[in-house]
Amino acid sequence: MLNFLLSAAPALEPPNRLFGLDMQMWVSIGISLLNFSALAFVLSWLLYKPVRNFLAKRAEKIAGQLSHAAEEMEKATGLKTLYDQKLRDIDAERGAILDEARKQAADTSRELLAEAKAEADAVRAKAQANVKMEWERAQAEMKQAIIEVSAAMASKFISQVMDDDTRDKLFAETVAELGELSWRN
Amino acid sequence: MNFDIIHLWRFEIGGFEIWITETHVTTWIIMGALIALAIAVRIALKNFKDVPGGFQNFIELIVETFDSFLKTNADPKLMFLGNWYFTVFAFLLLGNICGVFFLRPPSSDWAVCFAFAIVTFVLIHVMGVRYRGAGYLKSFFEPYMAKGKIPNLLLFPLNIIGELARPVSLSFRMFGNILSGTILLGLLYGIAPVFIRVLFPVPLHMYFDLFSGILQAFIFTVLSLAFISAAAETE
Repeated sequence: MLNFLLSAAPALEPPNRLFGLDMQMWVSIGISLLNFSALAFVLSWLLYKPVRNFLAKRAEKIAGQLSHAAEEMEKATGLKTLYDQKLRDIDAERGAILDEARKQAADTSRELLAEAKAEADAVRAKAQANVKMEWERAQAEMKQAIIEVSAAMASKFISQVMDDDTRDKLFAETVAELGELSWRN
Repeated sequence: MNFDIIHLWRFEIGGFEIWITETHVTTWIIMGALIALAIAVRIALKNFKDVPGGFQNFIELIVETFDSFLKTNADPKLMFLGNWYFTVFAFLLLGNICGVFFLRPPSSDWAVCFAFAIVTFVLIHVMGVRYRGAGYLKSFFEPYMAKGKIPNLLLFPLNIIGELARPVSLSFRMFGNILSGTILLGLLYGIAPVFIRVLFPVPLHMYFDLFSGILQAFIFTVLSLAFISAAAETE
């Protein structure tokens, strides 16, 4: 490939060789050292260091994000614990409220039942009193009717077997007795 | 058949003759490709998103893979060397596999391999002194005698030779592997009959250019990093 360069080489016979410990070797070593120093500087400046810095910054950024995520996770865990505690408190409070409400409902129910029972007892007592009063009134009316019928029957019977004088005498006595009896009742 | 590194242009600086070779030109081509990629990344970086996709994914994959490779193989305090090792690995990777594009791999020139090895050598000792101070210098006298109390002067030259051998072994390991692939493929293209040249090079390119190239880039980077990490390691 480099044969074309040969054509541009000077007419002087070049000291081509494979290996030789002479001045040209040391010159070649010197040129190589200069070349490698320049190459190391350029590669370091343009490629290796910038890419390394980029990777380091990205690693740092990712580490920061991971750290931030861990912090957020910790915060979230704390909040979850707090909310769980609050939920437990709310459950306990709800249970207490429900127990209180049940107790109040039971008390109210008992009071209402007692009142209803008392009212029912009162109504029943009043009804019983009314019944008793009606019973007594009916008894009195029936007694009066029996008396009247008995009197009528006795009057008819007496009118058939008694004369007028006896009848007047008995009538007077009976009226007197009835009057005394009615006054007593 | 010629496997020599072609010398292209001649300069004279201070009385010394300097040649620009095929290796330098290939190095600049690879540098150009890498710099173009870097510029493309820099432009695209403004639009990079938190959730990557496509090109961004590719770039992130490269950088993250290299970063995790450094974290696995090096001491954390050496992470700042990532820039250098990224360059070393990217250059050697592209350089070793550029034979696929009919370019001569730069690492088939010992000067390139040795240049990288010299940097490793310097970094080993600079990091050793920086992080271990006098303890690092004392390590050249190890193992100590008399239950770790007296420095072993006899071992000092051996330790020094061992240290000097490191860049040589590092550079020649890669140079030999890559050059052998280049020579074998050159031989194949140079002397094999036409029908073999059409079919046979594919597995050879896959092995010598891709597999061996990637493997050598990886080995050089890992060894270099391991040496520096060991030198800078404080107990």
